[in-house]
Amino acid sequence: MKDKISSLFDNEFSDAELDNLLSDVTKKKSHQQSWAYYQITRDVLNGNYVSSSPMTDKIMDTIEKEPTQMGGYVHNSSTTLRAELNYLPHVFAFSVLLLIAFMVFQSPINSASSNAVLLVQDEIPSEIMQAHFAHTATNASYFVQTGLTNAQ
Amino acid sequence: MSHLKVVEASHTRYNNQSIENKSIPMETKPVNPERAIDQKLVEKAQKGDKRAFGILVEKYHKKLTRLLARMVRDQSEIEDIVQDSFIKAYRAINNFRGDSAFYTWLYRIGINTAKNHLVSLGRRPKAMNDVEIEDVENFEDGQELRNLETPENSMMTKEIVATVNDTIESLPDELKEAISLREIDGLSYEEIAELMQCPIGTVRSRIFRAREAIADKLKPLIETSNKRW
Repeated sequence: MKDKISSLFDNEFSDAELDNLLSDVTKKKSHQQSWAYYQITRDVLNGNYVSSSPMTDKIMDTIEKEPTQMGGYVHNSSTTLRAELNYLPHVFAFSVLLLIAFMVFQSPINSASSNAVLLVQDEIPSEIMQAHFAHTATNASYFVQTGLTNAQ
Repeated sequence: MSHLKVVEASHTRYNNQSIENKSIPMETKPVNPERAIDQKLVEKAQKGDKRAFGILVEKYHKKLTRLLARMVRDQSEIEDIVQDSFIKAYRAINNFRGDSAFYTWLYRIGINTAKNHLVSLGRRPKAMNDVEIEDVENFEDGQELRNLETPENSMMTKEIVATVNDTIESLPDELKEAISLREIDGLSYEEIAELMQCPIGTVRSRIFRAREAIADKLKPLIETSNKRW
């Protein structure tokens, strides 16, 4: 794995492995130390090395006390597109559900049986229909009555 | 010829050709890989990963220190300004849009922090016309900082430089050549493979082995705290 960290340090990596490599560097202490030694070697070989106090630790100690930054600006358009594609199955499923619900609500109105009931209703005088509905138990009273009967 | 002389000669060549060398991968790859790494690290930091920001600190604190040494003459003041600059950068990380390289953005924060620091002390900030924004990414100059070194730091610097050079000198020729071509001449793995007439995988392995050999020698010299970022 460390040889890949060395390649990453040289910017020699494939796009596919970049995420995993960076996650590895950020998670493993030994990889972070290797990174630091590689940086020193580079600075020395380019004549830029100057010994100083361990500043990274000092800076990171202060940053640890800072509130964690969350959210942030999403720059990469491909990342955004990937995020949108992740939602696609949910959007599709929701659309199918909406379609089914629409069809369910539409079907009784257009069905032949409900038309038949309406036609019969038209032929029966209205006072007979009103009397019929007045003496028909509601769903609630039906269940209350049935429940009482069963209890007795 | 001793390796040190090779290093010296190559160093001059590297400085003269650094811009050309850096343009090679730009032509072959659509995105600057260094910038791609930084962008990924910034995105991770924006999502709350402080360790990702730690890598950016490790990567750029010395470079920023060297740059600011052109404006501020006192080493402890420079260190404070560098620290403040990184903290400001972290606080503002969600505003970083990636329109410029991370280092260019950090450099602007560093310069402003340094100017404010000098103004607060009633001093006039030195103009930095000689390092334009466009050149910042390629800027390397340890001389300014070397002038500000304490005697203890200077001793340590000499010891570390000697350790790195001695270790490279003791490496087998193929490792020595691979690491020198990479670090001093700034060649890509592909170019090194062509020059050394071997597969890219072999180049990768040789550079890694050379680095690990140097790291093993540096470990006892450089105290790295157990608590890394």
